[in-house]
Amino acid sequence: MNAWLISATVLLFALIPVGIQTFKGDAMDRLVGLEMAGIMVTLILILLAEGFQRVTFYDIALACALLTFGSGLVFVRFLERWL
Amino acid sequence: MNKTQLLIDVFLAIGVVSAVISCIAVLVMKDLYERLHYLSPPATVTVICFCAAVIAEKHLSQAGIRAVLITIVLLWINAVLTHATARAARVRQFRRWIPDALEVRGTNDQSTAGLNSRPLIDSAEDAE
Repeated sequence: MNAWLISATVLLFALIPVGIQTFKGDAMDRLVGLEMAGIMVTLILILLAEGFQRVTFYDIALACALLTFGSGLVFVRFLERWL
Repeated sequence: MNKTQLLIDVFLAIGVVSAVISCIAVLVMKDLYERLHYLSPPATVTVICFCAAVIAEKHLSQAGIRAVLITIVLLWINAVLTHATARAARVRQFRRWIPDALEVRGTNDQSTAGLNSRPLIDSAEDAE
């Protein structure tokens, strides 16, 4: 187990408070937790790609970052207008 | 342990500590607007540190270039998403985006967003 994978494991445990945040508060508070989780998962995927020495895994991290952006904007517009 | 490996470990440690503190802060903070501040460290400090660590190990190879690309995307989406979320929270709270001179929190306002960020004038009656 190298430093990259150890860092990825630590960040995986750091997702626990973010997960708790997504289960409490009102919709906007939960949305902040979701956005944080998206960013954290992107970071974890970068670490895993380097830890496992697989260059193609970076594409998953890039896709995750872009989807976090898209989903975040959709939720924000929906919550702003209709909920 | 050579200098490059030491540099990588330092970058990873800074990034991980910054991200972990931000994750805990998102849970601990009382207010939506306070929570929003803690979206930034993972999307700026941490990702730049990880990108630097990847470049230190792989230089500007395929992995390095992709790490730079992810860093640019995360830096960009963080700014846009944080602003959009804060704007949505404000619109939900005050029913408008642009503030007026006597910004009041409506009596029927049930939103819990921004309880620690209440405007100085809480109601029209208080202003009189």
